[in-house]
Amino acid sequence: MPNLAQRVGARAAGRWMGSALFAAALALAPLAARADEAIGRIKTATGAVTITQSGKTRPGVVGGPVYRSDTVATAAHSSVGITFVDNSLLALGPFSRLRLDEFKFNTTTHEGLFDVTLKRGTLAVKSGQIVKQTPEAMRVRTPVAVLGVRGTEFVVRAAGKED
Amino acid sequence: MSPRRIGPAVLAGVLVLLCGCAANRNLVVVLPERDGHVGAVVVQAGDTKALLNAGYAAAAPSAGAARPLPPGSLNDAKIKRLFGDALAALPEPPISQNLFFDNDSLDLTPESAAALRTLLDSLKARKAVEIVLTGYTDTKGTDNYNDPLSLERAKAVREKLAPVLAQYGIAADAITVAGRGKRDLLIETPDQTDEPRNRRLEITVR
Repeated sequence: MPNLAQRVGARAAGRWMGSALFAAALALAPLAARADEAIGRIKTATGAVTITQSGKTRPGVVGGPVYRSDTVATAAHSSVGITFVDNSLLALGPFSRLRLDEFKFNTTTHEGLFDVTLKRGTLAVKSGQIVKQTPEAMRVRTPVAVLGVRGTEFVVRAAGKED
Repeated sequence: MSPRRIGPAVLAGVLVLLCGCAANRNLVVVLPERDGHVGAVVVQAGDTKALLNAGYAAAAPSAGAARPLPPGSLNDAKIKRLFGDALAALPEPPISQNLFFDNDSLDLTPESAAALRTLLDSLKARKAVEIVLTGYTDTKGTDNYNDPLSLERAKAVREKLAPVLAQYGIAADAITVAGRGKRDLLIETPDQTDEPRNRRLEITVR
């Protein structure tokens, strides 16, 4: 497929409006994120930050990817900030634990779904394109409440104990 | 009861309020935004709901109760004390720039080339830079035609710009593409309208 796409892309390069045939061929291009694709990237990190997925833990470092089903955790005097592929910004203060439950984003229509659970600690959010397209398509769960996000900047604290 | 016997109980109560309340309470606060626009968050706990739709609107949910707080319960100083570390860790907001091309070619107009250089020169402090190139069409044609067309346009621009971005330390795998077709028009037009300014390419840095 890359070869076809590249060849067609090269043809398209000189002509903004190509043929209907070429447009139809490209309609097959995948738009939805695959399960193994990064949904965001760490932009800030101080102190001890870890990311756990299926029992395996890796350090959270600037530039590192995050995936659906990751749990991001911070220790004392630690914090982390992540930019997601829909331009949502999330950050955790110290002693915090956040699970990235669900993330779907269509880069063409901006339709999607973003569910996270703040198990404990503090979370700051600036919502992104998913919420702009569909209010309340982002939900933040805490041990006692569910937040439907219509936009854009807010903070949450969860008094929950470990998990 | 004499005041002497009440004293310790009151003191203990104050301590519980200070520790239990300030340190451990669940809290949700909507923040005022720079442009004056305020968003909203719906807090649901059990069967109760609270709509927070003003700057500093807050709730202290407990199991089964959304518990909105009275206006004025929170201010900048309290928010900084409780959430300062998380807020300081928020990444830089993404920035975007529209780019235009000479006669639908892959050659940037002189103005767009200058704007691109200004944008890239401003990135030095930004960490783990990612680039998104998003293609847009005018309203001629259908979504089925324009969506892939705008995506292919973004891919072609990526090929062209990759060497320039590499000079700024941005690797090819940090550049992604998207096609929005005829959504988010820069210039509002009726459907099926030829409008060169809508055939744009948006570069987003995050």
